[in-house]
Amino acid sequence: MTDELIAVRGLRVSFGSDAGIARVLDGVDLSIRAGEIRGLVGESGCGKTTLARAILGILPRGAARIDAGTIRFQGADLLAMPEAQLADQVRGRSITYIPQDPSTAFNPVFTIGTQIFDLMRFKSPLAGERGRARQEADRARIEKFLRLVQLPNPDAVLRKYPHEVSGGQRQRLMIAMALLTEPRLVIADEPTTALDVTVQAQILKLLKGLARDQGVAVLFTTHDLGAAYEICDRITVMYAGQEVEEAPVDGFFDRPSHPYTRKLLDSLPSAGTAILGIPGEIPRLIDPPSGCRFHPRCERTTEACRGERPHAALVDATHIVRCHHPLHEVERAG
Amino acid sequence: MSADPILRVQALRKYFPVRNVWKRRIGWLKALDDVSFDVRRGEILGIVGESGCGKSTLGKTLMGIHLATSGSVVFEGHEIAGLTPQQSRKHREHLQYCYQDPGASLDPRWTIRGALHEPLIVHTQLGEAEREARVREILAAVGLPATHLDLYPHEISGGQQRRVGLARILTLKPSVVIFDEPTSGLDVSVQATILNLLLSLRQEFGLTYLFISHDLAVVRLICQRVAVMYLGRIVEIGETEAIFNAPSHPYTQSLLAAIPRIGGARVTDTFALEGEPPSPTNLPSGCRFRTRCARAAALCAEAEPGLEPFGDVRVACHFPGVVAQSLRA
Amino acid sequence: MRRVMRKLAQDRAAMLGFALIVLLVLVAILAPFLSTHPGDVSDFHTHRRLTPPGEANWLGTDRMGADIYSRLLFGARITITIAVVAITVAVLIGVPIGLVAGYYDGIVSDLLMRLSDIFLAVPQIVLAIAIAQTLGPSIENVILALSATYWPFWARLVFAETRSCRNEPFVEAAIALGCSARRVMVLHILPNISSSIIVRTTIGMGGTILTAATLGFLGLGPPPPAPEWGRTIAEAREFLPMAWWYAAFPGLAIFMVVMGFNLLGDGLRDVLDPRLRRAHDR
Repeated sequence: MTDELIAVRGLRVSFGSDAGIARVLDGVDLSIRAGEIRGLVGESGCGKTTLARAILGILPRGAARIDAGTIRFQGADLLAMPEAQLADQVRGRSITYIPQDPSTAFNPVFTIGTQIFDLMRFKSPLAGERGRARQEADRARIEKFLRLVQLPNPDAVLRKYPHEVSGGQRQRLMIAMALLTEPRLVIADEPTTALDVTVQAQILKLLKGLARDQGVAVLFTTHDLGAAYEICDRITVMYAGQEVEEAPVDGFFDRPSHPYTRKLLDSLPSAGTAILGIPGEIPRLIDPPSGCRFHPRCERTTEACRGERPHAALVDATHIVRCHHPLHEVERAG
Repeated sequence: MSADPILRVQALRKYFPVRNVWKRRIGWLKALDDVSFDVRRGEILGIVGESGCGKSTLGKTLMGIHLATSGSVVFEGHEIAGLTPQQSRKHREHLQYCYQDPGASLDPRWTIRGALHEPLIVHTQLGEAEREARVREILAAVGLPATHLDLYPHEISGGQQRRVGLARILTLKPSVVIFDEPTSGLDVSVQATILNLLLSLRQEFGLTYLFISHDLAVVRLICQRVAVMYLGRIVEIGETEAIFNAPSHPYTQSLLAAIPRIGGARVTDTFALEGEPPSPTNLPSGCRFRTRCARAAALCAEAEPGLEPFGDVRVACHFPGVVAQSLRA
Repeated sequence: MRRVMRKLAQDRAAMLGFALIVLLVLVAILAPFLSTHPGDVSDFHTHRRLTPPGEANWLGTDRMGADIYSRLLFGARITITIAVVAITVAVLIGVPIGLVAGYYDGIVSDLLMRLSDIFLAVPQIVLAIAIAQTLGPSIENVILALSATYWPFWARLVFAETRSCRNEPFVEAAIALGCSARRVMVLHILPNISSSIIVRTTIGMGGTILTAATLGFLGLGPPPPAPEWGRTIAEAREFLPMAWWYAAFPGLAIFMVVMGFNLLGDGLRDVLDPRLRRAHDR
């Protein structure tokens, strides 16, 4: 684990609401290597967006509370970092963000160019310098990246307003903006969920290619397993605030070890087979099931599952599962 | 299945006026442009396409939520195009429309009982007791307890709201139900439950479905026939397996090639379709797909291809069937 | 509904407002029993004119020697009558117009909204004067002037709310079902916009009372000896600043009543608007 870029350990997050306290993340461990494209997969309520936001430090201030855990990034704990430092050095610079819905990410009353230049004013890699040289270097960099994301006419695009470009183009712009500042990690929160399938194919291709070329790591959250299959090197699956399995992409789809993962893959529509769902419902996080939160819906449940959350165990050198009764033999790990 | 189509659509057009600031009409948005197809009794016909293709407009125009600009829609032998839902109420009783989120079709101020009685009040002369009996029957059919009748929509879960929305449609014992993106945004495990429910309801009540969706995997699973739309027209229509196994229209080929296939070759390595669809207010001359088509020739710019039989399917293309580079087996 | 009431009860300002309104209503109903000199609505006692507040006359006497306290209590009846009737008429005219204009597009909608614009442009006082001049000063004419100029506020509010509610999925679903326009407007749209109407009406009451008092002050309201509060203040003008009680107490009464409605209205708005919307959100 020595070339870990970012390591989340034991993260617990809770949200307050009228109805009670929702335990949204229950001691989550996640680590990403430099240059790796990591998929974070799960259904609604699994906590993937909360985890992404926690890393960036943009959880809603009043409602959300970080109860425990650390996020180590480049030697520092992001959770302990003062906000000013986080906002200036980390957010938008070494860790950038591509939101799910590109249409609400831009300010509608300013042109795209204004907004991108604004970003560069504060977060340009050349932040030390000033003056004409810096402005021109920034502009050249912006144009280079707009071309990289295959926006044909950078000048024209910069002069447009957000509503004048399409959803696919806006997402390309978001990708360009996320890469402009030479980040180490890009957090892409369901970036293709709102897009048509052909546009999704283009964007995934783009994202994968650029991530490889620029050597950035990507945390790619999605509920679409097909999209995860396309571009991820490694996949972590979450259920109701707990991460349950983590494996390289091929191993993940070929030999899932956790019952939930298996059921999830089985419920993907495929021709010629019966339509399988998962009996029961995703639990409410205000009073979640004890121990392993999947136990009420799992046919392998025993007393141990209700009692205690399983620790991580190795299925093989690169495949981790957290289950008391995994589908494959495991060696115990710490 | 009887030979007569239960729903026959011919040359249906729906144009929306595009106005400038002074409210002058400066053009037309051709949301539906000469759409023709039949729906056979008892089948599930899928309508697929990406945003802007007109599939949602198609559903709403068939229902009369939008008034057709021109064309004919014959349902159970009656012409209903161009009539508002109220005018054609009598004929439309057996044609119902289900929203993407059927729960959203529930008035938040009405109880579930009120919501379920309403279709019967509007369409039939049944008395209170008879309505109640039918409402209970349908509620049971969608798997909800009768105690829900006194609750308000916000007091039940999203999944249950969905079922109530479905029940509402079924109280009228329709023959055709138009579903607009019924599984969009649903978690995969919930999607399976909904699909199974739809299939069992179809079985129990002998329904015909028009299944509008952008999710090709789901469409492949439950539709017998499918129509692919692009920019307001049907470009290919036929048996589902025939189309998915061997698509003939270049757009269909690209569409299917874009779907990630777990365990197979990666789309991101091979996908070739560039650019985006042109604006529906400014369509290219001739075939509307030619600006992005690898096989476009001179003929494609001159004449718009009609929907012609080609093997087992019907395709709107001058050069159908030629296998494109990006097609994977 | 119950949750709404509970939340409202926690808002002290709103409860104060509510108490003031209840006080007004009670006073109006029980005026004959609460007043010390019930006959003073019409009687006069010139030997006692303009006496300051004291034992016999708790709030002093006016220029005719009549007890101000008792006249105030009976004046509350006039105030309530004018306010309630005027607002009811305005609502009954404005809400349907707003509904129809909001629901439909095109010329019907444009015409109705232009009509409301025309009425909005007329200053209430001027119209009231015109009516009073032609038809004579009376309580009915005050009500007429008020409703004629107030209904557009409700029409515009309901128009805007109907327009946005019209696009909600459940309205579209009702239309798709084949519901008639009337059914959709009355049974679906109206209940869902009722909270805005309630809030606006409550706040509007305060303004109505103030305007009614103004009209009374100008002499356009019910003629003497009716103990209308605004008229009482007008009468007091020539005797200020010596007979301060003559103007102060009616003024205080108006203030308390208007304040009461405003506080309650604010409280209702805080409780009804954000809460209900959140209940619908998923």
